[in-house]
Amino acid sequence: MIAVLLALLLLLTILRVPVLVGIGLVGLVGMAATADASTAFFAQRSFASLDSFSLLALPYFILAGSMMSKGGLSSSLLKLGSACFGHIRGSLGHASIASCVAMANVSGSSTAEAAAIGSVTIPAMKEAGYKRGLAAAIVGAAATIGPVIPPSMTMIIYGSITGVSIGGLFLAGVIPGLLMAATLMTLLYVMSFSSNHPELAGTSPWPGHRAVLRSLRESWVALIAPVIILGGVFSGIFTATEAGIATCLYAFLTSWLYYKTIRLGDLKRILLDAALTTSVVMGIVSMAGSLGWLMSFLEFNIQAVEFIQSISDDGYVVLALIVVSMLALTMFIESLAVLIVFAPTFALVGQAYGFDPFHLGIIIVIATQLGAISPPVAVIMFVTSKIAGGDILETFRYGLVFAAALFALLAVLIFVPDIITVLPSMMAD
Amino acid sequence: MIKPGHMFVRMLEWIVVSIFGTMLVVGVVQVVNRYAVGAPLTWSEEVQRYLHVWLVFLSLPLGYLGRHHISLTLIKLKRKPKLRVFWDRAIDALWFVLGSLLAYNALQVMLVAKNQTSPSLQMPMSMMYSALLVSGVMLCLVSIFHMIQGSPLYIADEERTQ
Repeated sequence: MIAVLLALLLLLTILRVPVLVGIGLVGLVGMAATADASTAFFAQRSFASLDSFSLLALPYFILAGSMMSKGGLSSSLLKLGSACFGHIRGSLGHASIASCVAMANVSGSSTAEAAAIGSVTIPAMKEAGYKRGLAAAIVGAAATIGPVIPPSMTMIIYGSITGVSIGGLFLAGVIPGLLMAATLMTLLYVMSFSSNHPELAGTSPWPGHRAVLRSLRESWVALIAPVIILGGVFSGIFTATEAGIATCLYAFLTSWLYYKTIRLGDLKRILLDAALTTSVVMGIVSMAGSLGWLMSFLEFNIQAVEFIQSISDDGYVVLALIVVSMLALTMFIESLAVLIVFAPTFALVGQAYGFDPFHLGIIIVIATQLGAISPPVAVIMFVTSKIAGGDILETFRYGLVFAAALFALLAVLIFVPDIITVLPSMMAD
Repeated sequence: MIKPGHMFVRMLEWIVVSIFGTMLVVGVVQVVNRYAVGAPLTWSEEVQRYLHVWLVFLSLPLGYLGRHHISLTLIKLKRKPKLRVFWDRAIDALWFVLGSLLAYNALQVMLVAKNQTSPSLQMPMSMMYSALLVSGVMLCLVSIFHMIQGSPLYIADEERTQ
């Protein structure tokens, strides 16, 4: 039954049916076909999936991101990235990656980040002679950093459905997120010495400290946001949701009074845009909540735990199995839906094997992101490839190189959990 | 001249914006009351949660009107316009099925929960579940509109306001 439902979901996805509709209908069909499960649970579970205080953080962070984007933040972050990295080989690529790291502070969604940063950096890279596929792949791979560095929509959803502290996940994601950026930048730097990529060898002269400071002045709003979020959450002033509210206020007041890039008249448009983005994400959360409930009803969680326990007692083998499963699923099904439906099961497995909840959470979050840049259903690569106006297969070709480097980093993170747990442990002490 | 459909969309937009704005204000009041006034509110969390549910379910039809919802274009039908139109209609029909089942099941839950009240606000839970009913009905209306008209009303509205 479970296999049939997943196959149906995959089929609907391939047939261009919106993810939300596909998940909703598969859930309904499953409930109708299951004895003792009424379709009335569909409405009840769809409601209950959204009726959560932790999940409220998500619309607030989307709103804050929307306010900052309207304030022209993406381009100011790119200026900062170019000022800092323009003199290094592969300069524009480095600037794009650095911009994605900075943008992660306000965005939290890899697809939104790919679109926001890509619309500015990809045309610039194309102009500098970068191949379309390469430019799209750089931004696509860098956009996966967004959900790992706080605030993160993926972490908010993971935390709210598994009960793991969202603030703790935020903190646990900082070092892995920065390592992902360092990995991509190192790879790009190495690639710049290849004769296949003469465009990466070009650099611009060091603009001087004054130019860097000027760029910093233009983009400090985004750079201070994580201090509010992490500082507020860990000093005990805010919950993650209240940190979202504080970030909204901060973004609005600075954009309105300091930068003067937002007028009060713009508020309706900003709120509406954020509401639409929220509904796109939360619509999937709501429908996937019903499907996830059905999976639990069909005892998928228990079967999965028993199956994994029958394979190995070794924690690392189990963790590798979880990662491979998440990757395989997100390669074919939209990553958010996979997270909502399967994360509770994997969290249960993690509990059975005594994994650190932050370690497991961050590993799962990164795995979903890597799935989202791996063909055939590489949502992020589709977005960047569309912006670049290039061939998706060319983007996939370059994207696999970056994905391979991030897979290697993921393997390190699996075997060295301290990289992830050190910050939450320090804060707990 | 503003058509009734446009007026309806504009009204829905304002409702969604008002809900989001209210959520934010309640959230700010909650933080201020806890830390500045020292008197935490008992109702603010519940208000935000229920407003959030309404926000999402009222925004769903608006998103569908503008075709904002995520779908994967693995199969490209650019060179086959007739098939593309047929396919879009088929997907609109699936939206209709989802909307109608959402509305029907929401109605069932509302009937079951008609005597239940929310813990803090003492509001009837059927009122909260009605967000799904309203959303389901509006999804059906939008799908019928898409199937008949073929062009998104939302875009027409955008052009009108520019």
